Amino acid sequence: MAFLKKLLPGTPVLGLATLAFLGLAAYEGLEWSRFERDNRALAEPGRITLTDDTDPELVFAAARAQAARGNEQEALRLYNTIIREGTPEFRERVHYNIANLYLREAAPLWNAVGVLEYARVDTLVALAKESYRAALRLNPDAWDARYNLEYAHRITPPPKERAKSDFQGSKSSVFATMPSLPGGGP
Amino acid sequence: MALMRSIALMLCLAAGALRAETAAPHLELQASRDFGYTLGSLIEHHLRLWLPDGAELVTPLLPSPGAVNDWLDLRTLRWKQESAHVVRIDVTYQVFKGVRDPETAVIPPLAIAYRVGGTNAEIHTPEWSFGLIPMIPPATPDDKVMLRGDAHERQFPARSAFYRFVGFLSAAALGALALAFRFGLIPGLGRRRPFADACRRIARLRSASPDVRLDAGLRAIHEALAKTHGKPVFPAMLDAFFEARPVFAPLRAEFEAFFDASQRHFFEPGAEEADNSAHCQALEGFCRRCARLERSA
Repeated sequence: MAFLKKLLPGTPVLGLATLAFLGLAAYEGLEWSRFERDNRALAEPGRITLTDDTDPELVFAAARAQAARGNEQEALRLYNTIIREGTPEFRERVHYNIANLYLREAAPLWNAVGVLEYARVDTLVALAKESYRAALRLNPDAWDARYNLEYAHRITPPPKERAKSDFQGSKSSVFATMPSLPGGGP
Repeated sequence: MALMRSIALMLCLAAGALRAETAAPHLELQASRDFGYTLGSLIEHHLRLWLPDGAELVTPLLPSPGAVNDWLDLRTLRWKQESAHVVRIDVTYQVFKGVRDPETAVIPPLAIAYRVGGTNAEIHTPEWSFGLIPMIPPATPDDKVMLRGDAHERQFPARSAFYRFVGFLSAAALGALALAFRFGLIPGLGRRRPFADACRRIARLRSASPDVRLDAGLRAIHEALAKTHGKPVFPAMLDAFFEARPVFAPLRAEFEAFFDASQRHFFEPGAEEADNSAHCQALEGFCRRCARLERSA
């Protein structure tokens, strides 16, 4: 017992350490309980109730659920609410999924009608490329993003032929080219 | 003769180095490889810049991270003065060029600004070509390419939080156990603190008459002494007691006074002084001091 007694620190130190450990245990207990609750919510993302304080990971799951249901606009809206939150790894996933939403809309259009939907495909692919790039800037090792971005480059419509800028008009005003009453005559 | 040749060689080398320091600045570029890159790859260039005497790098004018062109980003640029004339510059690029077939791409020159003699000048890195390969097999038609799926949500780390919770709770329980042990609250395991018990017994008798308090106090301290020593302690045994428990030695005089008071109270009733309440207070103080020493033992 004397040996044990010598090993123990003084009573104030022991008391403070016990209180500190108790506080940390309480904090971790609350965290554990919250994580368990959130994991249950992740299992059923369709039922997640979103508020301003909802964890970004839950919003992410809800956005994915919306996208799976075909509600891409709502999914995009939700992704955009969390695009600046969380760790770089989280933001990379958000950018990547946003890019996928754009590309999944552009690819069938391009493969089905090609340049007939030029403007729409071009816009969607440009948005997808920008989001993939953002994801890759956050994590250059995101191979899925690399692969899909390469595909986005493959289906990028060729640039439209530019309007000719070599018009050599001899009239001083555009109104001068408008038809008018023929001059002259008897 | 050999010595002369060595000296001549050293002089030539020294002259060469001196000439290098005063000559025009030049750059040396090192890159790990120039093939096998794909879209998204990072390319690292290590530059070593030799500057002439009196020249220095103009760091505010160094290229800043951002887009170099529509398929190349400059991610980082770090520099370090290696010696008076040599600056090491580490540049990281990221490639965003999508290709259908293997291609050769060229990283354009980078302007590095330096100041010499009060005027700014620039030196450019050489163009650097590298091989870029596609990830999607070139022969695969666009409509047959399967896109990679969405990123999934991550589970919250409940298990690790649980382990931390159990760990901290166990640590807190151990701390509480140690405290309980220290205060003698664990039956059969806690420290015996006979003087502390005696103090509690004396304190409980505060409302009793001084005679009763003195009598009970003296007995309580005798019992505490006996419990501490393992057998009854008599005045003649004090030396042995202090030798066995030196922690109580500073109170030797008070112990002797205690035995004197005990002798008077129990065996010489006539010699006892009338003011027993003062004796009781002294006894209580003595007991407290013993208990304090007992706790520090």
